[in-house]
Amino acid sequence: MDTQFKKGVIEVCVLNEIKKADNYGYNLVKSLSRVLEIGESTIYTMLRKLTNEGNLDVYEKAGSDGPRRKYYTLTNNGEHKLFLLVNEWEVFIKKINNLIGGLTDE
Amino acid sequence: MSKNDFMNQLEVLLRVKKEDKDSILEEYDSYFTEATSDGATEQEVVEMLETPKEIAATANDELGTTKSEDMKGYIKAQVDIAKKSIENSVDLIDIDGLVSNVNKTVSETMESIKKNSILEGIGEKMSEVIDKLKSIDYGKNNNGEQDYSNSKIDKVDIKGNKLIISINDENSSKIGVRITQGTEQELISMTIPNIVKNTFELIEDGETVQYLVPKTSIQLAQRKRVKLLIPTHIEDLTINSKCPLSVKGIELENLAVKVNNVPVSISDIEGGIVELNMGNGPLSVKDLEVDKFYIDNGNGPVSIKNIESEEIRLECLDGPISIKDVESDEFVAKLGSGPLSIKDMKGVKHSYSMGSGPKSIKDIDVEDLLVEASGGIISMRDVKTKLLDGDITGSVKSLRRIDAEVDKLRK
Repeated sequence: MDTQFKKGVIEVCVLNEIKKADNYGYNLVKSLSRVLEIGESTIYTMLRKLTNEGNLDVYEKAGSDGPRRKYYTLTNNGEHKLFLLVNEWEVFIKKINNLIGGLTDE
Repeated sequence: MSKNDFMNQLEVLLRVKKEDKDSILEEYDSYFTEATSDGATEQEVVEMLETPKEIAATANDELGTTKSEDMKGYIKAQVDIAKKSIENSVDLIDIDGLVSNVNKTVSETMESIKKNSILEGIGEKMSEVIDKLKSIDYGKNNNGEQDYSNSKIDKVDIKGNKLIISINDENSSKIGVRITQGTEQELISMTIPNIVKNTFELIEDGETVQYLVPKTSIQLAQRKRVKLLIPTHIEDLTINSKCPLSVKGIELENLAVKVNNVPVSISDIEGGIVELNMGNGPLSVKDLEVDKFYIDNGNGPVSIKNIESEEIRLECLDGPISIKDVESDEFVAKLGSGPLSIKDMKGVKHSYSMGSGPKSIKDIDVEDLLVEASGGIISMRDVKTKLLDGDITGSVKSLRRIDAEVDKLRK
């Protein structure tokens, strides 16, 4: 996958993962980096970028079993952004499926 | 790489806004905390993560400043990292500590030579010989003092296991020589050439040998230790020894020592040319004031301290080497690997050519300095010179307080 494409995917996945539940960096890296086959730096950088853009908020919370952690939560902006991205994604997938389907039919 | 190194490198490499940098560093710090509490070692965490370079590349690309700033920053960061890691590793290795250990080893070896010297008394006895020689009237020199220069010991050789003292005085006939071996007073095999015939049988009465002879030859059993203490002026001293050797307190024209794989200690020598041809084995040279000084040494610890000479040439293979307090117009050292320390050097033209292994060069005040190092780690501190030349590109470097009017050193 080319990097621009991948970045888009990662953005969606990170936002979606946080939408499911507020989450902290280490956990996000563990759940996403293997599936997406990307290094942790991409996720950390993405978290930073999304925070800078106002799509994520950060708060600190001490876990019951662990140390104080920095949690990421979705802002309204972020929620809207995720909605748009998911839409875009679905449209994009449809187009691709049509294209690939068309090719394989030949 | 340790967590500290990892974090340090990352900090230097990240060229992003402060908030971004702090946040990313914080995330990585907590990654270490989380992963280690999950059971991974620090080292394993470092291995599972991307390298600081990769991380910084990703972050700088997405969050960083403009490209040209990036490049400048990147270069500066690389330089900073290199500096930091060199300083850390050089300090870590503690060259001075290593070298002081070397000095300790050498001096301990030398002490043990002295302590275990089977022929402990020989030096004193030799002094007696010399004293008696001195009591002979050789005539006066211009200052009204005894002039020993024409007629006295003109050669002392230790060849193989023989000590040969050549006495250039055919008129004298009374001198006593007694050798003490260990704590037992006994004569070891000894031949004394006749004044006339040049050969003489030893009187083996275990006591005093009552002859003054032009040549004295003492058989020394191999591997025994010899301590030679001759506080007088000698024209020519050649020592070709298989015994551990300690030569101390001689004023002479020429000293040539050729030994193989035995510890040697040379100290307090004043005179012309000193030439040491060693095999392996510890060598300690101390307090020399000579015209020329040459050393050819194999492996093994070498300690050279407090030398004043017009010219010094030093060739040593591997092994810890410490050179300290040397004042020499011309100084050429070709040294192998192993920890090396060169400290407190003065002179006109010095050249230090060194192999791999940790090297420390410190407190140098030389007009013309050439430094070559073929790898390892090199630390240079407090160097003052007019012209600095050479090549240390292959070494990890830490240079501080280098004051060179012209600096041609290829780093």
